[in-house]
Amino acid sequence: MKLADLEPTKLRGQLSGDGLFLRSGPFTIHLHAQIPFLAAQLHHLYAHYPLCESEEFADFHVRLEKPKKLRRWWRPQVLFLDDGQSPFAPFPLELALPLLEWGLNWCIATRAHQYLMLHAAVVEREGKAMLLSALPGAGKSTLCAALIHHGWRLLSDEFALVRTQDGKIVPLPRLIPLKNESIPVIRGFIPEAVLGPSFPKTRKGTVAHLRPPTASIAQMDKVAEPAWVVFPQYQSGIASTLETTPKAHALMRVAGNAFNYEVLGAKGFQTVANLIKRCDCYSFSYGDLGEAIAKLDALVASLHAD
Amino acid sequence: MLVKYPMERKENYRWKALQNNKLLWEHWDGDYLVFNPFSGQTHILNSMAAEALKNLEGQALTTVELAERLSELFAIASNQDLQQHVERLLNEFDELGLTELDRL
Repeated sequence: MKLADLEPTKLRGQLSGDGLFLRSGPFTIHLHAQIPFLAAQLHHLYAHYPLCESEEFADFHVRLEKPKKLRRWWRPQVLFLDDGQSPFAPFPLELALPLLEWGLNWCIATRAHQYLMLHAAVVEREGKAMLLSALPGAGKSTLCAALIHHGWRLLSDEFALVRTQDGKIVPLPRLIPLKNESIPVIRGFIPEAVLGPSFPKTRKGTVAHLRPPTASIAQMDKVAEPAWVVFPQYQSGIASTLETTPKAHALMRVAGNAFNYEVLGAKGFQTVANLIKRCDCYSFSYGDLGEAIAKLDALVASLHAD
Repeated sequence: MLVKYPMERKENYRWKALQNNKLLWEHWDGDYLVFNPFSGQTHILNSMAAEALKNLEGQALTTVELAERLSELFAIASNQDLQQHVERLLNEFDELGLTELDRL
């Protein structure tokens, strides 16, 4: 059963009653929220995500709650609670969806140590995964959003979940938070893209969430073999250039941009080293999305030439 | 402030890699990576630094002994310059927690 199969009124009832058991990649999220407009946003953006039976084990028990006292009426706020604990200060109520998304990221980043978690988007073609590893502001999410609407499957926008036992990438196709200029860029470049409302004045500026393509959500159990590590950097007006990155330097960049590399110790080093061994690594500068897609598509074509 | 070499001269010590054989290595195209499980840090080394550290994994060596080994390995003159270079390397290894001192 998918979330869209629930009538909006039933969804609201479930969110404010026993809670909703929603699956995103390998994780089951048990979500409570008594916020009607959030239910409508989830109905739209999470429409194709599978629901689980309420008896199933949940990885995260999450609640979005309006704080009690005066704030209930005056500039209302919302709290993110994880197992009853609140790791963040409250947000304005209208930012419930961004808070939920950031809160879930926090839950994953602090707990899912069965995986090596790299800060990277991951897309896949022909069973081969491409990791897009970049610091914030480099254009990673914009490029990822463009690729997944042009023949690539989304595995993840934020977390590359690497299985430590075999090095394969486990999909986690969550909503893609587009920020600031990338919102109109993606609206223009992908007219069919499904975006939620724009949330101005968040800590990261204006944010709007892109719904992953239905096919990516439907294949969220299909792991992929890593083949490329790409370090993208957007720069206005430049021609796309793809240059080989020495593997040792690629490892340092990937490890330095991971969520739990040091937590995993020697296993983290061995997992990143195995990933880099099986991948071609590139620095990628781009100034135009269409040209960027063509350049990265050519890497897939080169597999057949070999 | 910590005094690293109290009272005695450095020449009276040998260096060895921290907890022999515990460092993890990878090597690509002339670049070496070493993971120190005790600090959780990864370091990128050039070939001379890597060979120096690898030599210290097997046994404890003085600065002079290590300089001689590297002189043979890289076919370079064993002179004052090399010894100073090795001394700087050893100090860096020490600061990174990759090596420890072993009294003669």
